[in-house]
Amino acid sequence: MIRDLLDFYTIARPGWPPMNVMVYGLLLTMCCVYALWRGGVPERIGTAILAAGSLLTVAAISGPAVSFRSVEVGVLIVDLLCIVAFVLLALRAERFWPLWVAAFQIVGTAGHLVKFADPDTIRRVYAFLLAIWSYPILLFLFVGTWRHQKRLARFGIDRSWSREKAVS
Amino acid sequence: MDSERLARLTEQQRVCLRLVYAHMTSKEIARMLGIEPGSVDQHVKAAMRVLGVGDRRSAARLLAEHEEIGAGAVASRVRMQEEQMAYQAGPPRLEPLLPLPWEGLRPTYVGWMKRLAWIVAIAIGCAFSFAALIAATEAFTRLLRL
Repeated sequence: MIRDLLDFYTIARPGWPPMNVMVYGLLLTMCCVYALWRGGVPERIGTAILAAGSLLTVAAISGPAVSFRSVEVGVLIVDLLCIVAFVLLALRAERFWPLWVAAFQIVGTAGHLVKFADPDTIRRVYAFLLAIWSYPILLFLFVGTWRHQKRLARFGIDRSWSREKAVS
Repeated sequence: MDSERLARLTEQQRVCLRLVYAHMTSKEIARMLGIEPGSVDQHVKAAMRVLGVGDRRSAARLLAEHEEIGAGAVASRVRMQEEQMAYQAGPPRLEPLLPLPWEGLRPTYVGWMKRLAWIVAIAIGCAFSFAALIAATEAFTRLLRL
C-alpha cells in the first residue's frame, strides 16, 4: 500500500513531470509568495533560504540514471548550507518557527548520513528521507507568516529580531 | 490635492460615505436615510469618481481620515498601542519552556544556547517519532498479512 502511494506520487506519467515535483513546486510557490507578501523580515529571509535551497538542490542532483545511487555530494552541500542559514536565523529572530525549520532541515540532511552509513539503502528510500522534511518546513513558514500577520493586527508592530540581552 | 477633492463632495455623498465606513450596506443606508438603495449607490459612485478611487471602502476611508472621526479607527489605534505597551512593558514575562508561542510567550530573551538546545531537541524528537512511525507501519503491515 505504501509502495503504491509512493509510486503514485513519484512516478512520472507520459507528458507530465512526476507528481511530487508538481505538488512541491506548487506548494513552494504558494508559501513563498505568501511569506514574501505578508511576512516580516525573518519570514522573507526564510523564504529566500528555502527557495534558494530547493532550486539549488534540483540543480545539484546528478543525472536521472545515477541520481541517489550514491551519496549526492552536491545536494549534501546545499543541505548543509541551508542548515547553517536556518540556524543563524533561528538564533536571532524573534520567532519560534525558524527553530523548528532548522530542526527539520537537520533531520532531512541526516538522510545523507543514512546513505553514507549503509550504501545499500535503495535510492527511493534515500530520496524519500531527504525530501519528506521539506513539507513541514513549508507548513511552518506558512503558519509563521500567518501568525506574524495576527500579531501585526493586534499590536500594530511585530519585532523581527530578539534583543541582544535581557533588560532588567 | 485630496482635501481639494474632498471639499467637492456633497453633503449627501458625505453622509453615505460615513455610513459605508461604519460597515453598513447600501440597503441599510437607504433604510436609514429614507431613500432608494439605488440612490445610495449613485451617491457613493459619484463620490468615488470625485475622489478618484476604485472602491467604496477607499472612498469612505479617505473621508474618515479627513474628518478624523474614523468611526472607531482612532479608538482602535489607541487600544492597539495600549495593548502593545502593556505587552512590552508589562510584568516580567516567563521565558518559554518549549519553543512554542503558547500564551503569547515570545522568544525575546532566550539566549543562543537554549535556542540551539531546542533545535537539537526538536531534531532528535522528529527523528525518533519518524523511526517509530516507520517501525509501527512495518509491524502493522506484517500483522495484517498473517
